Amino acid sequence: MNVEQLTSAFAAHDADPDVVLAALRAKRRRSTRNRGLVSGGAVAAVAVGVVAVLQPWATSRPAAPLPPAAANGCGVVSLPDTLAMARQNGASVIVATGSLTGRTVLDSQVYYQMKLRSVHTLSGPPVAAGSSGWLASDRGPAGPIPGADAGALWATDGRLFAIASPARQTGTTVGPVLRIAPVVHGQVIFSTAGCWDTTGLPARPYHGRLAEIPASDSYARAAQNGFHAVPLATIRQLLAG
Amino acid sequence: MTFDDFVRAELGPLTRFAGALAGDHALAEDVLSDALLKVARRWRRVSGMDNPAAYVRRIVVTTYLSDRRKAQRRRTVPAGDLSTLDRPGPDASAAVVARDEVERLLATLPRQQRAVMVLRYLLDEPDDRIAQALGCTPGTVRSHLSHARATLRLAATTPATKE
Repeated sequence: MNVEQLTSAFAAHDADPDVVLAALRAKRRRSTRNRGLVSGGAVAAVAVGVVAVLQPWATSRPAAPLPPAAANGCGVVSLPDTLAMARQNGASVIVATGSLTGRTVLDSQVYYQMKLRSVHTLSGPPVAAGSSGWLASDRGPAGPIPGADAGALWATDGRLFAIASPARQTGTTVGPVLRIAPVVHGQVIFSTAGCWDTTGLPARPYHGRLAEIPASDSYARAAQNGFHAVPLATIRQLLAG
Repeated sequence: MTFDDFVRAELGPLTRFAGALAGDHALAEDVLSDALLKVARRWRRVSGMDNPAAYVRRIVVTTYLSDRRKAQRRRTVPAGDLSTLDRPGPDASAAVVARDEVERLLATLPRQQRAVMVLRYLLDEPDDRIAQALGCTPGTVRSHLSHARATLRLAATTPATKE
């Protein structure tokens, strides 16, 4: 092979400028829309402070718990940044055992109620055992990040890691909204189910059974991108940092 | 210069760069639009740099090298245009075979090595600039170059398997 052949091969797959511009416009629109949702959440959070609703999830700090979703559905917000945002915005970060107890539909979105037991609050306002949260997840592209092809997964014994955001911060009236990941043998199993991004963290591949909302197809969708096991101790360090 | 001005001025070179990196136009379009989205978000800082285009190329490289995003990215498979088969034309089989050989060899390179080759042979970048773009040392760049050249030369001289 000579250099001319090499450069010729390099030049054989140019991106189409019009396609790039169209894709960029679409991705910027999605990004802007999702940031709008974040702003809406922040406004609602201020209202929470004014009304001062007393509940385990209530917080006096203004918050915007939804991280900005990125271009292709799930965002480019790293886990440390996600945790930092949760902490700054007054959301609770917990480890608990969850079980599905109900289902409701609000604004064409299906929410599943999850009862939380054995709750340990890692940061943020304490969450009481026996509290309920809601998973915004249904068949197809739905989940904690609007427009993302996400879902929700937890361990087969119910153990889960969660960011619990008061409903009014997320712009819904259904109740506290959970963004969850399974906890298996002291490891948090991150994946696109929940739109988690563990880039840069010590993670090992995970292959094993997990639980999902029946017929939600969350596991299959997340499996396409792999599961990444991060020690819970690492998460604790991130929250303490 | 606004972000839109920058894109208008640099889109051509960037599409060629992304295409050379990805070796697939659909993947290149996805990588480049993702990279430009990142740049748009931090344009105020980027526009103040000495060489914004070099920084943007670096973002393109890191986006391309990102394993997570690589896994998430939906791939497309080019479909053959069967209508071209019945058109008369010169026999280009030799050129096609040669091109196919080069493509096949390039496809064997790890992404880092391919990125180094693109930066060197398409953009004529020196080792230190390549190192800066890839976030590694010039020594690592030279190592990548050496391995890539060796792979291409070795593979190019390996006799084809006889059937």
